[in-house]
Amino acid sequence: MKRVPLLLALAVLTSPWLAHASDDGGFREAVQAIEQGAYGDAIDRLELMADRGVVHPDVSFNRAVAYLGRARSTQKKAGDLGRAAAGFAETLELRSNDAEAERALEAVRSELSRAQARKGGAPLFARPRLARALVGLAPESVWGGLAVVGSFVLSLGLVLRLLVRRAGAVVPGSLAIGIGSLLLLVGGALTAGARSFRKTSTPAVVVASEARLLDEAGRPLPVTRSGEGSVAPEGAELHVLEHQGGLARIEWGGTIAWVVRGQLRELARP
Amino acid sequence: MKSLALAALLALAGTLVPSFAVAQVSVQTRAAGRPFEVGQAFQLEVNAMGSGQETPDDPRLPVPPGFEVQGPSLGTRTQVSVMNGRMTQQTGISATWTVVGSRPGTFKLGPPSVRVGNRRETGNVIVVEIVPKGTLPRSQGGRPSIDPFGMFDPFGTGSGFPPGFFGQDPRLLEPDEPPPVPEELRVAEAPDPVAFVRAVVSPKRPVVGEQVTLRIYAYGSRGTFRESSPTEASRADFLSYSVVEGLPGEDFVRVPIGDTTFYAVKIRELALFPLRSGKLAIGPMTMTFDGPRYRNRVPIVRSSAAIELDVAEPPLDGRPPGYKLGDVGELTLEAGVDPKKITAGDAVSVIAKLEGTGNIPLSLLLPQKRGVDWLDPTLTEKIGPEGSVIKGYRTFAYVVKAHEPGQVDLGELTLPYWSPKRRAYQTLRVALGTIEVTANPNAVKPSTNPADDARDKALALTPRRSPSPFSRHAATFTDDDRFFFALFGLPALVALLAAALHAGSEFKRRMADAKAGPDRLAQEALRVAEQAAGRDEVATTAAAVERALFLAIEAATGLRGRALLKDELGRALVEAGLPEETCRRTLDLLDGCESARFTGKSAGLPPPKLLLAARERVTELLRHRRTRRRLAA
Repeated sequence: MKRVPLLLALAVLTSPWLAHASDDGGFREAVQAIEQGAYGDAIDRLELMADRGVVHPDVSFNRAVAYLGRARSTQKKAGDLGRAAAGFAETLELRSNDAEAERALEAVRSELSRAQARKGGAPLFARPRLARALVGLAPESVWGGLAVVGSFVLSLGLVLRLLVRRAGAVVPGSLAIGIGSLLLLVGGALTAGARSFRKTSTPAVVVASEARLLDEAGRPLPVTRSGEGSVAPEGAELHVLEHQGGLARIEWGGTIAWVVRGQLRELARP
Repeated sequence: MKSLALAALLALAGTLVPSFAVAQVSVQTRAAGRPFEVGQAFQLEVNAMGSGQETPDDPRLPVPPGFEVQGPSLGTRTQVSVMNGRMTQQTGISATWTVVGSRPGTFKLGPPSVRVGNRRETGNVIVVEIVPKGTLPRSQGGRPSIDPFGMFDPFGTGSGFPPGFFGQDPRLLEPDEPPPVPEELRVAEAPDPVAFVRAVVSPKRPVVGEQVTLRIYAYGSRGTFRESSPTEASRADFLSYSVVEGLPGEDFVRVPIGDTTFYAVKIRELALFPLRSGKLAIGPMTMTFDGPRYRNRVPIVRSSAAIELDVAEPPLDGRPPGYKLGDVGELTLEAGVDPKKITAGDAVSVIAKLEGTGNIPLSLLLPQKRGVDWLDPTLTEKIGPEGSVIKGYRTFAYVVKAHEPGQVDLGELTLPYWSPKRRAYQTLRVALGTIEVTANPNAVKPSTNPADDARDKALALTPRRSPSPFSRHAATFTDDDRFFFALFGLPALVALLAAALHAGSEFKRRMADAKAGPDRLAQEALRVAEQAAGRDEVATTAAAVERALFLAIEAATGLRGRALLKDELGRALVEAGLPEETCRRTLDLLDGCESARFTGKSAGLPPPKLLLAARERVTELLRHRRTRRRLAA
């Protein structure tokens, strides 16, 4: 009897997934296909699930595994490693504590970086803008929690300083006001920043051999010797700011440019 | 004319001239082995294939003066042949130039060449004969043909004279018998009384990849006409095949529209395949109506209306895995495998033929198994218009390598597609059967590098067998704007509460002060004096009045008058800023009160008068207090 509420809670939590799973039933077939080396078949099934709006970290993970398998087989296609990186990155977007996906993403990025180094192409990572780098130090919920703590500490300090008329409350009250104000300002600003970035941009990964950076009219940006600033390599993680026809406006490091939309895979978020 | 010549050229399938093969690269030149007219376009094709590491590129075609060359248009080619289980693969390019000669004669074109690595390989010289305009039959030259054997009517005009000899070209005159009006040409109302162009598409709501037929009709009310200076309809979002191009003079139909009879003809028919979903635009087609009856000072230029098509994707419901957007049509698939018995490491050839109507797909879904490798296919195709429908076939020649011995089931080729007729997805399946793979005694086990092993381990991942519980949160707590209000609101609320409490206590204190203040006590003393005066008690009235005055002095100046002598009080009041008159009167009244208090007699000031005088002094003193406060403020 004690387990009934637990089971009910589990059912409620998994209901979105179960609703889709009952429609598709493609997950198990995809797993079998991967195990048999039929990566193309697995990819078709998992991509169809994504087209139908199924968002689940394990679906993204298996899709990445299928692309990775195909990339390492004789059936490999251009962009497979980038798509694998996108799958693992999406898994982490949906479940940030997935250690296996994190390790796999690291391994795929290393592989892509090696390939880029061999070609003498642009590096996989671009230095992000300061604001995005600061905000990206911790998840938005952490910044939000920090701001809440700051708010409470500041409030406590104000109570001690303004409402309690004992001499012993002055010093702790002043300290609490100082610390609370700092936490509230820093946490609040970073929460607002993270929220703004989340609402105005979508993380994406380059899933073509490379994505040429364009201007608004679709003309390629000037090519540099290393390709840096003119090309985003396969597997590069960037942020999509807006769409216009077949182009997407992106932020890659400090560069704002346009790329062909089909060369990117936008990551699903919780 | 140009397109007719090209079509004729391709249909004639010209001479194939193998030239030579040096260092595993062969350059072949192909052109039609017949004469061309001055101004007539023809094509010259070069195929350069190599079996080594270096792929041919940079094709060039030198031509003598008097030739205009366009191109080349480049294509890549891969040729795979399997003989007795041995596979050879060649890659290369095909380059096609469009050439137009501007003077008659026999000319040598080329030799064409390609770059292979750091050298150039050349093909054969092509000899082309260019003849004057109008000397070739119509079917070849794209011109009205002259029948040399028609003794009395060599021009085919019926008169024995060239067209236009007697003025109007008879082929541009009205047809004798009006044919019945086809439904597609019927129009309820003419948008222009002289001429107009009309474009029609069907179907109006296609899916991505479904054939849309665009028909463009021209109508003229002044008789038959020619099409001149046409601007084609833009159709960037479509794959396009031309079914009818140009204006065939004999297809005019008389179409009555209202009171006018128009001469109508279909000038274009295009099979379009939408490449994406959304609202896709087909631009207007513009043409100039040309002919004896259409010669105005201002040319008669007309355009069709632009069309916007609402293109959707086939539904997600029921979509089979592996369906590629755009695979739409009515299709059949057949396949064969040869040979059926090979040694491990060798290959079999799988030839699949996909045939049907519509947008015939460019790839099939391959069965994938460990130990079986499918190489990229070589495609051959014959796709083109048949009636109003695009029809044909595409052949996929795969080389399939089997690495492990035993009976290997190759699986089945599949192709999901959307059938517009059935409005449903269909899946084609062809089982390829089993091949026998015998062990290869000479097989070499590939060596492995320890570094590769480590990387392989990191990348060798197994899929997750069942999905773990996961809840997708639609929004985080920071999404709500009230979060930020609460964040800053809580300390603000505390500060406000503290301020309110402080203000409350201050107010309370002031209220208490006000209750015990000298002015209030002065009024109280006056009330006591009034009661005593009512009872005609002189001493009590005087005592109360005296108290009221001292309290009023205290309220007005802050001086406690009882502690001072009369003279000192007078000076102090003056120093405190009270008018001397007020000070004098107040002191006089205090004197009067003092004597009345001690003697018990009124001495000229009965209690009511005393009270009245006291009220005046108290009011005067308190007024001075208000003035002082105002000045201080």
